[in-house]
Amino acid sequence: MNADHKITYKGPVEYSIETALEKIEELLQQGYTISKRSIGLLLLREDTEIKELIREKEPESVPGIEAITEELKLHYTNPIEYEIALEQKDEASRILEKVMKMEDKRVTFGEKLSRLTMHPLTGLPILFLILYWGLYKFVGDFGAGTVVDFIEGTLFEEHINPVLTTFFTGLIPWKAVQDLLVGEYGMITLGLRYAVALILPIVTFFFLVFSVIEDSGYLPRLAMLIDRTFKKIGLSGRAVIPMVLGFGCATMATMVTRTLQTKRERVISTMLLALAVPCSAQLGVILALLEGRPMAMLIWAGVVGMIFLLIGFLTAMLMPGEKPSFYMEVPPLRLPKLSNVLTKTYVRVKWYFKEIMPLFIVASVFIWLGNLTRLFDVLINLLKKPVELVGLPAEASKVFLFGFFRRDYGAAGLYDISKHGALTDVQLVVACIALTLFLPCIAQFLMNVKERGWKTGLGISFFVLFIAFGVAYAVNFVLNALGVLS
Amino acid sequence: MKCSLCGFEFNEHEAEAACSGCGLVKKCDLIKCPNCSFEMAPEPDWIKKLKDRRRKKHGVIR
Repeated sequence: MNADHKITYKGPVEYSIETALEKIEELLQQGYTISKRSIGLLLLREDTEIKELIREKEPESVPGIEAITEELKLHYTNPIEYEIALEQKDEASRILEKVMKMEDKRVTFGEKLSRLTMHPLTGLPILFLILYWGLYKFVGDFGAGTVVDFIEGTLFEEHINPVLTTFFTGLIPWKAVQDLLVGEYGMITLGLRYAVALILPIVTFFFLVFSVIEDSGYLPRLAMLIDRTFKKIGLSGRAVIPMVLGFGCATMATMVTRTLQTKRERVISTMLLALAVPCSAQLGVILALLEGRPMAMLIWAGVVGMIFLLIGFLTAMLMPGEKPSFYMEVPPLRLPKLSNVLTKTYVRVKWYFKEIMPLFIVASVFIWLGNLTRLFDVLINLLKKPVELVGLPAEASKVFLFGFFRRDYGAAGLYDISKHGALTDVQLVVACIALTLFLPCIAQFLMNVKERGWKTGLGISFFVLFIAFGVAYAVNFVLNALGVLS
Repeated sequence: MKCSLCGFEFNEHEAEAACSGCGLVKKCDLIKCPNCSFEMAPEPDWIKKLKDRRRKKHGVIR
């Protein structure tokens, strides 16, 4: 490093980053490919790879380095990583000032809009507009409403299913095999119909909106906007990434939580993903179910949002730990490119469909087997009591059973029940809330266990089950008592 | 390639390393950023070939 550009880290006089760096440099005895000062900086930023390297090469220095790091933390209000980044950014600006002449230029419309998206006063209404037009109107109203009505209602129910049912019942004499293919829970009449006619159009519309948002550069601004709110629930803007990905698939998003800095952040975000973040298909079906019922939609969104914040806030209070730091490069806003948007949507839909198609067929086979062995009835009977307790008809039990297998499969089951007019508005809202908050699907449960261990994974599942039915019961009670939506 | 979320630049090998530990790694078409773990959709080969063909024919791609 050129001596002229060596950063002298400032900070509290009695113990600054500079003081800590000098002490660490004195402690390090071995030779490294990079300077001791750089090693010291990485150690103060708690870089796991460098910590491991020091532990291997000179374990005797580790306790001293840890003591210096802990001592330093006491003298700063912000995390050390953040303080170092700030000073490096300032130094970079100083160097730039020396070597570059900046012309005074007008603030462009893009820059103005960029600032507006990140300011809490203007950013939140912009976010609301994106959610309303992007998710509610485009994905829910048009995609999950108009398009699904045509593909599922007209194409499948009126043409494809009757033709295939007649064909297979004429071809196969055995009732059990007929049921497996074209029965109530058949591979074609249920598995294929759910995958192709319901979930495929919904996720296509969802990923189309997601790709537009991604390509425009809005996501980093969203992270900056909600960083402050997330800090109240023990997270930082960095947690926006798993949360946003959770709307695509919560299982993959749970794996992404490993990139969060502290164990506390990882546990809180895993729990919130399992509890209050619906996956894309589940969200699309819920939007379709509540379409044309703005009050019901507001109650569903309000309750789920409130539970997200409340549980996050309480967990953060119960789990004391380090305050997370967050900073990221914010690229310029730009108009999304059609070819980019279409490519991204195509790849994501292909990925999602490849994953769900075999699983939906397998689910139909399992349900068929469960029906043959009567195990399906036993499980449904087990769920009947809590389902009735929250004010839902007994037949809604199968939705929750489907939901544990796959979240989107459960949502599709609820769509079927609602289509036949079996639910009142209150029951519809309660069912949507309970299904959103309900247990994660098997894949997400296994990921929770893999990432957080058996104890935490199981604990989260029991907690989520309790909260889902508890909140559904309370909402049903309050809505009936107040006579809202009746 | 460049992450569309955090702006981090990385190569294919780094992206592959970021996917370690994921059970779906073999059948997944997405690319994971090693810095922030955001999953991006890469351009499929057939679209690249299509663009190359157009480029050869017309010179530029809009």
